[in-house]
Amino acid sequence: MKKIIYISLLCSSSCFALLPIQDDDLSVISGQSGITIDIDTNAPITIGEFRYNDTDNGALEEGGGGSFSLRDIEIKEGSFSFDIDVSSDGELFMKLNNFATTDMSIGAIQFNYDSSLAAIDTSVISSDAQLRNQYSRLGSLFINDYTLAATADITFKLTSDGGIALTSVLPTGSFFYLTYTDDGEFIYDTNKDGDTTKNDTDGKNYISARVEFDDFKLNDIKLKGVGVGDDSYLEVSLGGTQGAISFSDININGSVIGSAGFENIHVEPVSYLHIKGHQ
Amino acid sequence: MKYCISFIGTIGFALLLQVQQVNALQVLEEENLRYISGQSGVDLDLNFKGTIGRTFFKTDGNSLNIRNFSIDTDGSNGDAINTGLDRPINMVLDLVTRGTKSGLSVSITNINDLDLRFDQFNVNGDVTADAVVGQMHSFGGLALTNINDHGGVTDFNIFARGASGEEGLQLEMNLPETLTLNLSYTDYGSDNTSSADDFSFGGDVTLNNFSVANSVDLTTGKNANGEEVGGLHIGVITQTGDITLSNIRAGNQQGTMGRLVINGYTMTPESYLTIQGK
Repeated sequence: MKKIIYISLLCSSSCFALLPIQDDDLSVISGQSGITIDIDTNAPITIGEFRYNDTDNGALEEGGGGSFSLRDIEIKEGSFSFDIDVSSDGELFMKLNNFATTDMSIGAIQFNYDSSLAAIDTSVISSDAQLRNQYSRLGSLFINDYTLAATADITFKLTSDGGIALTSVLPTGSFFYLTYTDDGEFIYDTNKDGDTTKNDTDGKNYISARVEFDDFKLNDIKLKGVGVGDDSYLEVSLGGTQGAISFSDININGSVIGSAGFENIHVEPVSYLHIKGHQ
Repeated sequence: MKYCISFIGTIGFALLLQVQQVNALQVLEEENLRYISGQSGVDLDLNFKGTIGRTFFKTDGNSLNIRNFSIDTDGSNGDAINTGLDRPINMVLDLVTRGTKSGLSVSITNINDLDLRFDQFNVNGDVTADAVVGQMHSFGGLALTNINDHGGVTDFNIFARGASGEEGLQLEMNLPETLTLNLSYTDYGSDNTSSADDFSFGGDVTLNNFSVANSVDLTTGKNANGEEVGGLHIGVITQTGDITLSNIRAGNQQGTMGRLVINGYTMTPESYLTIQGK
């Protein structure tokens, strides 16, 4: 008799454990509102080279083919965090909720950089390939004190129709300092006679400005693949814009030439950009 | 005889091969470079319709303003009110090498009805949001409409100049053989709500074989007097072309004033413009 009672109790407790939780009860359970990821970098993030080749094998071609590189990219130490959530209609959101002021730089914006070639040596005659592939720099770019105002909203979204969308709301108080440094000085061996006057110095001339945002919004910049086969393309669309962006204290080599900017930027919904490859 | 024909055929084939090889070694004209196959790259189809309410340049509290600068890549295309054909502008982007210079090449086609409008230029004038509501300190408005490439190709190139022993960038724009547009300048009257007191001047512009190449560089240095002459240096490499302004109209006159023709326009190389702060 004792055994029968014990088995009955065991059975009943197991059955209770398997009962589904009612929807009403789910709403009061904590920890259901998604994931927050905090990232702190205690040292700069560096990328040696970010390259785009417009040929499959990366080979240079006279008249067509080549590469475009962003070299020596550095993002100074900082911290940021974002929330990840899934909506009821199946869309995944990644919303930035904290972003510490930071600095970023691109050491060289360059065409046809070839790391396999020897660096320019001023004491010997440079090859054509060295000249073409090591000197095709456009300059350097620095972004300092990148600051987002407290109510900024930067959200990435994986949409339910298979696209990717970005909404960026930069309230007044969001800004950064932008500096472009030129490509440097190039005096090299044009006659290929070993003339040692040739050199390659880093750029020293610059243009800079403080870039400020005033209630600047880009709503739903959306990327989505459309079609199949040869008719397929990547569609870029923009849900809407608002606000102003200004460049204050535009400074060339230490002399300020003034300020400039754009207000009330409006893009009609009929606008689009289709991107595809060609051969 | 049979061998003879065979021999002649062999010689002929060899000559043909040689001719083909000679042709293969010929330098490709720049205009044909864009048609080279076997290279990868990016194609863009752009349909854009938008407005920047105010574009400004400000010094010491005084501002030069452009009110309502609008771009419409196809003036006849569809929008919420007018439905029409979808005729995007086509762009082909390639990374290219020309001698020691390397850069980005953009070939633009299908410019059918591109409109660029500047509702008002003013200094310290109306800066209100959206519609222009005041003509104080206004220099008037400008419209470049129905810009058409007539099936031609507009080439835009950006080259890095370092490898050629020069500094800075080289920007090139080669317009198609014929590019036409309608030019209209409006000098607004004092009445903001009526166009009855507005005066307009304009005509039909045709650009033939227009080509521009400039260098852009940041520079430093002093002249013989010790004055700083550095800054943003924009130099002329080439500027050539023919310009015709026809069907010139002014005000509400019934007839037109004829045609102005500028043939063989050339800007002297080495001319330059330097922008520097004070």
